[in-house]
Order: sequence, then C-alpha cells, then structure tokens
Amino acid sequence: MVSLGRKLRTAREQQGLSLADIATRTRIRLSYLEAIEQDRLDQIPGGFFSRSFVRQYAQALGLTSADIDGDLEAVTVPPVETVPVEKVLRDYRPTKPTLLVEEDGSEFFHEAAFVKESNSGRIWMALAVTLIFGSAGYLTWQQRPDLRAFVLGKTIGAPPVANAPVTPAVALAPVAPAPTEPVDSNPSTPFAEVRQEASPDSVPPAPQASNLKPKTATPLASPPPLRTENLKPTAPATSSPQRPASSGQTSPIEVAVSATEKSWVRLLSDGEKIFGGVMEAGETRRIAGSMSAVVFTGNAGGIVIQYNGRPLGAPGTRGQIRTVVFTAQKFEIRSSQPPPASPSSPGVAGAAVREP
Amino acid sequence: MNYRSLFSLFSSDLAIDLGTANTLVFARGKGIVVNEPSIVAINKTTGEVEAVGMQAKEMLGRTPGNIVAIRPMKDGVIADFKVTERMLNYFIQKAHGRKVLVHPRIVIGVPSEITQVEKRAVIDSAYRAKASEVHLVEQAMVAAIGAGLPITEPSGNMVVDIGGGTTDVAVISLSGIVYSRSVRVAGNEMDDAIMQYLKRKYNLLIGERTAEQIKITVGSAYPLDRPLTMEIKGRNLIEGVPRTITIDDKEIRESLSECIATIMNAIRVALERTPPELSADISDRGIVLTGGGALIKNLDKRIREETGLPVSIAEDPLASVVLGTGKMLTDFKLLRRIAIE
Repeated sequence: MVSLGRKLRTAREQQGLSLADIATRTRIRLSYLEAIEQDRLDQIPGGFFSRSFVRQYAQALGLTSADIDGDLEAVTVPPVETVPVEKVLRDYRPTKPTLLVEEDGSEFFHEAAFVKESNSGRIWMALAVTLIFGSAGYLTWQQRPDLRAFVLGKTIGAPPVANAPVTPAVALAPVAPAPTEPVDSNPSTPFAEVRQEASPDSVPPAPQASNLKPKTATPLASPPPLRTENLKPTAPATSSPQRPASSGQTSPIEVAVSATEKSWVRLLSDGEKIFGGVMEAGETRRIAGSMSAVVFTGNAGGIVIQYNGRPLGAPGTRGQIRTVVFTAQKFEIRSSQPPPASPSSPGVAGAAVREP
Repeated sequence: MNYRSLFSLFSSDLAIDLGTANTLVFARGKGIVVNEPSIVAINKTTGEVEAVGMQAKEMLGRTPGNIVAIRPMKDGVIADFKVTERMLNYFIQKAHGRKVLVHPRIVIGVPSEITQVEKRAVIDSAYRAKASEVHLVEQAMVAAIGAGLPITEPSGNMVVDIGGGTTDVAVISLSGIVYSRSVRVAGNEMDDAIMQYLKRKYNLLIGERTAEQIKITVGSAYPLDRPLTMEIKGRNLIEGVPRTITIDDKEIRESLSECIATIMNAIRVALERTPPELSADISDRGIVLTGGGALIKNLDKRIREETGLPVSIAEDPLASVVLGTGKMLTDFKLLRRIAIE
C-alpha cells in the first residue's frame, strides 16, 4: 500500500508542481509540507493541525477528501490532550453522509454516531443518597418516640387508656384532675408538662413503651422512696423513686438491688426495662412489678437483693452471670441467660466485672 | 445542597450552545441530542407556545395573525427573556425525554463580549428552566476545544467562530484567552444583507429562510472555480406578484462583501494585538475557522489571501461549540479554569 505522503507527492509531481507552489497556495510552511510527504506527521503541531494540513495539501492538488481520508485516519498521531477530552472525541463520530443533509436538520446527527457511556456512577450516587435518607428516616423514627407514638397510636389504638387510671404520677400533679390524666400519646399537653416537672425522669418513656406493647401492665407502681437517687439526673430510667410510698398502691413484687461492688445490672419490671448499666458500690435501686420482675447481673457476687423486704443476699459468686426472676409468689435464679432484648449485654457484663 | 442539586443526580448534565440561529444540546454520555433552530412560535391570544425549533422554523414567515414565530436570541444574546426560558425548557426536556425530575447541570457557551446584564439573563433563563447549576464558558474557547485544538499547550491558537449572531475571534494559549473580540456580524447579518441587496437590485422581497438558503447554496467570499447560479422566488415589490429570478455567486459575494470585510477586520485587529511569541505560533499553525459561517465557500481562501496565514476549517464547524462545551461536562477541572465568573 502506498503511504499517504507518497500518494500526495506522486499527485503533485504528476501536476508538475513544486512544494513551494503548494506552500504559496496553502500558506503552509514548506517544512511542514516536506514532513507530510515524508510521512513524519509528528513534526506538525497538534493532532488537529496535522490532519488539517494534510487535507489542505490534498485540496490544493485537487484531490477529494475521499481520496485521503482512509489514509489520514491510519497515519494521524493521536493528539496529546487530556484523557476526558479525548474520550468525548472518540465518542463523537460525525458521519459524512449525514453531515450533508442540510435541508432536513432533524437528520443532521444520528444518535447512533455516539458511543454510550456507562451510567453506573450515577446509579451509585442515587443508591448512596437513598441509603442516607433511609437511615436518616429510620433514626428519626427510633429517636422520636412522640412521632412514633403518634403514628402507632392511630393504628393500634386503645392500649394507653388501660394504663391511665393507675398512673401514680397523679399523686404528684395536684393541678391535674386525677380521672382525666391519661398516659396519652401527646406529650405537648399541659398535663405532660406538669408531670414532667414533677417527676422528670420517670414518665416520658412510658407512653411510648405502653403503646408498643399492647399487653396491659401497671407501669410504675410506687416503691418506698429513696432520696439519694432523686438528686441524680444520671439515672434517667429509675423507677419513680421520689414517689411517696403513701400513694396507696403497693405492688405484689418489690425488689431492691444494692451493689456491694461495681456491677453491671439490668432491671426489668413486667417485661419493661427499668435500668440497665453499671451500679457503683453502695448504690441501691428498686423495682416493682405486678406480675414479674427480673434482675440480670454480670457480677452476681457484687449485689445484694431484697425481695418484698426479705433479704436474699447475693444471687451468686463474684463474676458470675445470673438472672433472677421474681414473681408474686416466688423467685428463681437462672444462670447466665442473656437478656433477650439486648444481645450485647453479656459482653458488657463481662467488661464490668473484670474492671474492678 | 439544595433540592435541585439532589435531583441533578437523576438528570444527565447538559452542554448547550445557545446560538442565535441554532441551539445544540449535548448530553453527557449521549452526544448531541438536540440540534434545532432557535425559534419559538407563540400564540399571541393564548400566550401558549405552539412550536419550538424545527417546527417553528417551518412556521417562520408563514404564520397567521395570532401566531408569531420569534427568534428569542439576537446577536448572540438573549433578546426575549421569557421566550428563551421556554425554549430552553423545551430543549432540556427533549434532551431527557421526560418531564419530571429534570434538574441538570448546564454548561452554556456565550459570546466573549457580552455585558453583565446579558450574562445574568442567560444564567437566569437556565435556572428558570430548572437547571441545578449553570456554568458559562466563552464560545471561542469551547469552539477551539471542540475543533480539537491543543489549547492546553503553551502555544498560540487562533480561532474564528462565525456563528449566527456573533463572530468571535480569540487567541488561546495554556487554556486561557490571550485576546478575544466579538463582532455582531455573522450569519444573520449576512442573510439580512442578501435580503437588502435583492430588494435594492431586483425589487424582490424574500424571507429570512430563503435568504439563508441562498447564503448556503451560493454564498462565497472569494471567486469560485466554477460559477454557481440559483433560482430564487419572492415577491416583486413593484408588480406585487410572485416572481422567480436567477442569481449567481458574484452578486451574492457582492452583497456579502460588507459583512465579510467586518469579519476580516476583526481578524486583522486580533492579529495586531497578539503578543509576538504567540504571533510566531500562529504563523506556523494558522487560523482555525469554526461555526456555520466557516462553511461559506472560499472564506478560508479569502482569509488566507488577506492574512498570508494558513487557514484550517474545523472538521465539524457547526457542532464545534457544543462539542467543546460537552467536553467540559467530563472535564470539570478544565471547566473550572475556563468558566466565566
């Protein structure tokens, strides 16, 4: 196959023209024309210019672009430019026949002339955004019990009402007329404010929990007061310690847990979590339940339990993991059954025990 | 992050050559998806858009009284803000093939010498057409990129982009504009010149479409090897009836001479203002013509004769600007360097 440079040179010599003639016609520098004839296109600046100069040379000789286009594609050195720019250049391929259809502009460019680019980056972005919004929504759902209660309250309905009459907070809220004090799912009522003022730590979780668990339960009956704890804001879930015992209602199960050394403890009353965490030595917590109370501990030797006023002593030895289940009639010690609600607690327990 | 940029995830980015004569839209990953005349037909009584682009061009000069076909762009800038916005909206939707969740990032090429007000108008129209981000780039610059010039090198490149409304002349080096100038003489002005000429010489009235057709078929800037003739139809001013006459390329060249001279002058001034080192590069590489005006016959020859420099025509002059703008979509680094503040 004859090279492009040779082809042009032959055509020029056939017409009896010198390179200088071509240079005058095209105004392209003589050295560039020589480079074209010798097929040294790399001597000409830039990819675009080498192509253009070859074309102009061919035109000056009266050759049509069809004569040289094939060769031109083959010889042209790929222009040195940034990659993305190149990519688009590759993607766009104008085809000569469609270019000529000037009259009917709609057929001017065919989409087929373009190579489709992968769209996966966009899809990943969309997925990521969906994920972020999904988790944001989930967290909001988790952390806004009032919202949740609002939505679930609509769907589940009545349960909160069952709890209402026995809510001990009544005793502390003199402004609130007793019968109309429901543990309602609307925390923005003045009652709720009053109640929160009176016992800041005990009530807010109640409506949420009772809504979620349809089984009716007396939520927080009143054990004897324990003044030392009232002052501690760090005990958010303590079972209504500041409530006076004279509220008139006694629960069938009353359990007091006192720590003799640092111990991890989790207290459940009627299946509802009252406390979970590390108790310091000397600390005492009380729970009460109408049907059952459960004490999980990661350091059975570090706590002392009182059951309905009766001292039971430590449920096990130091470092032992124990579960003590109290009912109205009896209690039962089970060894190391992890609390169902939080699978991570045994680990925490171990850590707490090893610490001292 | 506003909601628009969120939606932009679901829309492909667009590069738009908002031209006086034609608007081209390049969608990332798809190529040129819209190439239509910048014309909108509006029903005056209802205020509704009757047609946009190709269909509207068919209507140009043929509409009944209550419909007007408008070219919302004049001299490369927005003349009718509201109509431009609707036109952009139509093209953006057409590029996506759907109407919902379309909030693309848009890069638009504008003439180099536009005022702040005109710039603002382009940006606002794009935002009102539901763009999430708008970047403006100079047409001459993107035309050079679209033509495939090595603009990132430290050497001079001279581009002459002859569009519908403006002719942009620029000297570019190291992805920056060293000198640029734009004159508001280009395709449309040539059409006008042809209309005026035929009216004066033959008392023949022709429309814009016909004038454009004449320019494309027989328009030239330098004597041709083979003379061309064309039969044109119009209304005779004196007799008031349709007439057909035959014109040749020489007459049209005469009618275009003033426009061509203006462009030549702009090129000459640009060459004069170019720093000497870059002048040397330009004398080696020559001038590159892009835009629809580059297709005028023998314009390259005329420039070559008058300047004594080699003149190249971009391989796809009509699409140079939009292709260059399209490249900006994939090369945001370069876009940041060349975008107008």
